[in-house]
Amino acid sequence: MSASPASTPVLPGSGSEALTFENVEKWFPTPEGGLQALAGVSLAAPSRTFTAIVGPSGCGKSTLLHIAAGLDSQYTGRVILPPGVTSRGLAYVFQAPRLLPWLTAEQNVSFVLEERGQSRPQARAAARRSLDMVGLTGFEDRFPGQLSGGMQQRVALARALATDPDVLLMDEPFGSLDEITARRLRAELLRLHEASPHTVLFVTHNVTEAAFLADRVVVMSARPGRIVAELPVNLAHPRDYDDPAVTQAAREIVQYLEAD
Amino acid sequence: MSQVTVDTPESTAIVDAPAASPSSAGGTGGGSRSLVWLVLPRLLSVLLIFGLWALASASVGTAVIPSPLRVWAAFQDALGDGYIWRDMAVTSGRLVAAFALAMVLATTIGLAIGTIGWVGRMFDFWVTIAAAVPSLLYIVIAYLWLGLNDTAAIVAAAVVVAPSATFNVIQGVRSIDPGLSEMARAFGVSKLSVTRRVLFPQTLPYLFAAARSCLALTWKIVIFVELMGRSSGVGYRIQYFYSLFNMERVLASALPFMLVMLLVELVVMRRLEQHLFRWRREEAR
Repeated sequence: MSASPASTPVLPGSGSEALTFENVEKWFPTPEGGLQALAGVSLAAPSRTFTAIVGPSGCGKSTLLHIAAGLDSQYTGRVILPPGVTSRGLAYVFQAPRLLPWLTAEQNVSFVLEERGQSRPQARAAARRSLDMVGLTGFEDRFPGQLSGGMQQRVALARALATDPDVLLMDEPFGSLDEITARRLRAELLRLHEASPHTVLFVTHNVTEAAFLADRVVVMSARPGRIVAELPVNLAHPRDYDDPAVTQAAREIVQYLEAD
Repeated sequence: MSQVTVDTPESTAIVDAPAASPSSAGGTGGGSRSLVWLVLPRLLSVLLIFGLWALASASVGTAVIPSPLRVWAAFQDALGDGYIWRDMAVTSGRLVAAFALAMVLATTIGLAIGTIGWVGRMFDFWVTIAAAVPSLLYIVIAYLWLGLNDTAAIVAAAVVVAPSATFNVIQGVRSIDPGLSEMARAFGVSKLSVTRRVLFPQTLPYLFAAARSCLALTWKIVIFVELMGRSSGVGYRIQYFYSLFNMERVLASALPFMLVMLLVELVVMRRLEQHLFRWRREEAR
């Protein structure tokens, strides 16, 4: 995909290589008897494809990522990881950086690598490479408290990418950043994804962001969340955030959101 | 300086546990010039206090307030008599034992209350009550139950200081960010590693604050406990010279141990804290 300038046809739910949700339902217990968060969501995130999930706040899109990551097991339906992928093949970028404040940027990345069985020198070298990839050369030994919000989120991205994940789950990772920083990080994420495509499931309520980043956009309804539409984004790479084509694609997504 | 004799256990024991590390906000300057600015005003204030002390002694009379020089002479005499180091060794031994016991109690109870829901709901207000009980009562009860021995002295001191340290531990456990554990689980970090490398470091600043306030309180209580029912140690010596109305020897017995403990508190503990939690200090910049 990285080389071909033309659009890549994306087959919805293509084959066994995908991260698949089958009829996933989720209820949150409440005193009134329960709140339905997800109403029978079936969805496939094809391998090495960037899938964005958009929907209004509270539509259960973050819950879907939680379920995929194995952080929430109170649901019905099935989640099928791609063949050969275990829960260790997953990486997560949260809305907040969620760095360990007593570890330096490098240690925050090498920590998860060591926990996955890499030796300390190996993990440190990989952490440095990964931090370099997200543009944090020279900041390896800073504590999170000494970094700006955008830089902290870069560390979180480096941590996820360093594990070379089979599936990369991202939950509004740029949602709490200022627009300038968010734009820069989006462009970098896209560049990294083009260089070595991962299977990405990216949750956002920003339709322009979804249109800019994704190969495929899944639109979800307000609570209880269900899937309203699946749209391929057939735009050539490299993309420009202000490209009218991106704006046009975003407008199309909005139509489905409003039609709901 | 007469603070030593005024400082009753009641007034110190009920002091609430300090928040995480309020006193570490000062930070240390790097250059030698800032070091001068740090030391010089303090040195001046010490000289000023000694001056006022000498002045007060001269105006009221040395029978009521012995002059610094006479206390120094009494200290020299006491050194000659050879009991000072022995007293300090005995009191330090009790201090270490009581401190250790208090920390074990505070950590165990604090962890149970902070992590197990029903234990917390059932027992958390008992810690407040335990902190409100007059220290004297604990000490008297310990001596009555266990006899006039070292075990009773150590248990009494530990029980007096444990509640405030327990507050710190509970606070530490409750300050744990569930988001960090979730992150670790999402990356497949094992349960044991989550506890060791994610949960424990989060509570460490609070455990350290607990240890610091616990130590600061314990040495004062231990002296009082000795005064109440032991025939050795710094507290006993104070009581002995008090019964002889020998103010100079009272001060000469109390001041050396006080200085040692202040040194431990202000230099050793603070330095250790600054090193352990340098990531926090830098966060505040």
